[in-house]
Amino acid sequence: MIYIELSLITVYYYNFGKYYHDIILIELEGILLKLRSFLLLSILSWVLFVAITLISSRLPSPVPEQAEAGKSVWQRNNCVSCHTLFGHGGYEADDLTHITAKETSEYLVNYLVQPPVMRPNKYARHPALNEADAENLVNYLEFVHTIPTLGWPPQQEEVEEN
Amino acid sequence: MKLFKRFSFRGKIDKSSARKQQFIAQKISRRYCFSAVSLFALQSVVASLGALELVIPDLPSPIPFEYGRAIHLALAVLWPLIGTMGMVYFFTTAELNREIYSPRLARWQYWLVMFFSLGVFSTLALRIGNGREYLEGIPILYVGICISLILASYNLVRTLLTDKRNITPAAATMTVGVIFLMLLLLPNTITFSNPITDEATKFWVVHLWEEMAFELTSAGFIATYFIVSGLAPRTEVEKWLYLEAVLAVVGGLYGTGHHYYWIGFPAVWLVLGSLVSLVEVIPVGMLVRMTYKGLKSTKIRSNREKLTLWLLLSSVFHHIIGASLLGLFLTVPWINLYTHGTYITSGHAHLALFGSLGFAVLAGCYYILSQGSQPTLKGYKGGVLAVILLNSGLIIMSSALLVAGFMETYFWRILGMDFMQVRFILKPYLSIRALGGAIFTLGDLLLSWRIFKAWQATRSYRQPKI
Repeated sequence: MIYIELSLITVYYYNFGKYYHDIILIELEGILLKLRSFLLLSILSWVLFVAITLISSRLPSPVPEQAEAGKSVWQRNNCVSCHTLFGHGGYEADDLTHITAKETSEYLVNYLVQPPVMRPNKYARHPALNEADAENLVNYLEFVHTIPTLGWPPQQEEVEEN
Repeated sequence: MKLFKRFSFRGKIDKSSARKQQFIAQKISRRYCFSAVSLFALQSVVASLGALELVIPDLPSPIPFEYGRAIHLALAVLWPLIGTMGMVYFFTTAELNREIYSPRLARWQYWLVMFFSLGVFSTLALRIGNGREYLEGIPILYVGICISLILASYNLVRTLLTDKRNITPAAATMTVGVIFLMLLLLPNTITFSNPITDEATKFWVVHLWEEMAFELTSAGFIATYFIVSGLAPRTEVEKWLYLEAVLAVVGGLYGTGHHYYWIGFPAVWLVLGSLVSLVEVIPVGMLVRMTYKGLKSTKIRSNREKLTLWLLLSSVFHHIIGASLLGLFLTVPWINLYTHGTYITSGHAHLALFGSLGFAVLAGCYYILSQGSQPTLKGYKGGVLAVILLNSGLIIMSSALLVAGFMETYFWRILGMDFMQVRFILKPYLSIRALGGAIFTLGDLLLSWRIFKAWQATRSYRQPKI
């Protein structure tokens, strides 16, 4: 079998050797061309994507200093593990994107400084913050409330009507 | 010579299965895979404890829930990364049939990525973190992981450039995948004061790592696996690989739009995100086609190859059902408006992250760590049982989460009930989730044990002469 195949190649190569060489080159060119277009398309779409993401992420108003401090309180205490902002985060607790529209800031600060027991637990309380951190955090949540979210979450309208 | 052979024997099986030489890079890739599998074993234990804490009130725990979940998510991102690094080195050398540019850099890269990953887990256990979902570790640790990815990219690019005439599609795809892993992590080492930019860049890891970068490395891995083990002809497997890669990059990038819907971005992303998400399904279809071509070959497979295939097929199954079809359903803006931020996202995340990516990385890790040995019949049966347990655990867990999510959608979002009231109704489903998690953990530990056994059996296999 091997002998037959080898002899076939030999005959093939002698008869079409010249063309065969060209075809190898064409095929090689084709592979490189494909590789180049893949790289070019990847780079182009990456640059464009980063640009339009950055343009889209402009805020309606600049972040106030106190809200910025509040953001770091939010991150330091890992609030996102249980709560969500913009619907992204943990699933164990309520979404806080528009919490400042539902509750007054005094209530929220008080809740954070003297946290209640969390149902259905009998002893475990909500993690506590000091007064300054709590105020900054509520400030941050007030700022988040001003960011337009295109009508999400859907029950927001009912709350405002009430 | 390679091209010569390829042209004249088109349609026949490549003789590449005859290659049995082991490269230094393949030796190094073993430690990556071993670490990845160990972290995966740890992952299921952490996850089960977290699931228990949600159903048993006042469960005492040394690490509070919010940091436990952070460790769970950090593990979910980092163990596939470490496994992928090993897989890319192993399969690049196998595919190109030559050594990588610098094995020394690969060793350094291993110690860097391990040091900083373990740093993330231990600082989180000590309650130090940065509180961004999936990237909870402090930013400086992600700089370290970035450096190790830069080393990987440099090493792989230099490897490809040593012989420019012999760059195969699978090797190029994997290299570009690793470069994208690095590019996408880089902005996440910066602290943004703008909460919208913060959310958006977070999804460059949460979404784009899984749907683009890891998809490129997995496609390269699956292609190389079929070619190198001689299960399918090279021409069949490689035919559409570049097109698939281009679609994965373009579709993946702009498909990120479906995470930008409600975070304060302009409404144009609703259109862009939902339409481009349709494109994202095409490369998955092509991946399935490639896998099918490999399966169709009549060649007798060894038990080792069969076990790898079982893992690979589980990955493909969850990629189609859990990641693509369920994902596509959720990207419709009118549906997403109601399902967003409920347990449905959680169910989908488990199916997409572990189901499609995790199984693929496990397949690669098992294949690499068992190189040079065959499982005993008992070992093979144990492996298959582990795969069945993993799959059924994952499906029970995710279905329970999906049902809980649909109940949340109905009671909380549509009827407008209070969150805490709805939370109490969900308890039975969260208990079923914990049960599914327990089955999953059982399968996880069994598979890790089998892989550990394979690692032990092949430890002294063909030491390369240095």
